[in-house]
Amino acid sequence: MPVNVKIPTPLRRFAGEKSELVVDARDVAGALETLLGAYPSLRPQLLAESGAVRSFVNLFVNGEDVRFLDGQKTPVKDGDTLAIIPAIAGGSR
Amino acid sequence: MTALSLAASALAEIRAGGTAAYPHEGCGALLGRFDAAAPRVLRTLALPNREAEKPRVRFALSPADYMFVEAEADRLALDLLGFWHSHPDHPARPSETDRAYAWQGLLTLVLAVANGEPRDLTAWEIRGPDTPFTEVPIALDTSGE
Repeated sequence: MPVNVKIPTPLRRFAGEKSELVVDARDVAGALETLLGAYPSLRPQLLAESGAVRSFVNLFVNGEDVRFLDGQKTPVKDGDTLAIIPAIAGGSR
Repeated sequence: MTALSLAASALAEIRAGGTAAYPHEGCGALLGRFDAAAPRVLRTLALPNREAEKPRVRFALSPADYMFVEAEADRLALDLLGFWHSHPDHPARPSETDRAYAWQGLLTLVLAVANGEPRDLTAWEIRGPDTPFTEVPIALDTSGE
């Protein structure tokens, strides 16, 4: 099913400078695999060596954090939006 | 990147934001025109520090804040160039925490605030996933553009 994937500014250089892509997928994992198949250089940006999504990367489906849904097994349907959101934080210590 | 052009109005916004947040860390987004050699920061977006436990030494944005920033950049037809935050009573040098959260392609600006007064502002970038910060010279743009 066609799903919209929103690419954040710092990752667009690894995704053909695109801010949004449409991929065919049934769940979040499928959407990521399709995305990473098309843009392999995104892989180390999104995934740890274990294959898990890096802790500094948030995945939201229709505005909801997939950590509070069913993780990468979260189903997606036609017209859903999967947003990749970088964690922004820091501080003096 | 050879230098960062920073509009004088944006500098004033960063200094005011860091002062208002003191003794907590303040933060905001940097919007402008991307240029690989010399990006231009034209304006900032003030953002709330969402760090709940240690706001004097840490800052954090929520995912919703980040999405707001991207949407505002689109609406204003500007590029998201990075983020600034303040270091209350601490030098304008990025910490290990700053490095851990840094993203290639997003600038990190650090404002020192000492006893409530804004001091030095520095700019930093990383050039690869495992590289340290490199300081980027700031060129103040007073043209008012």
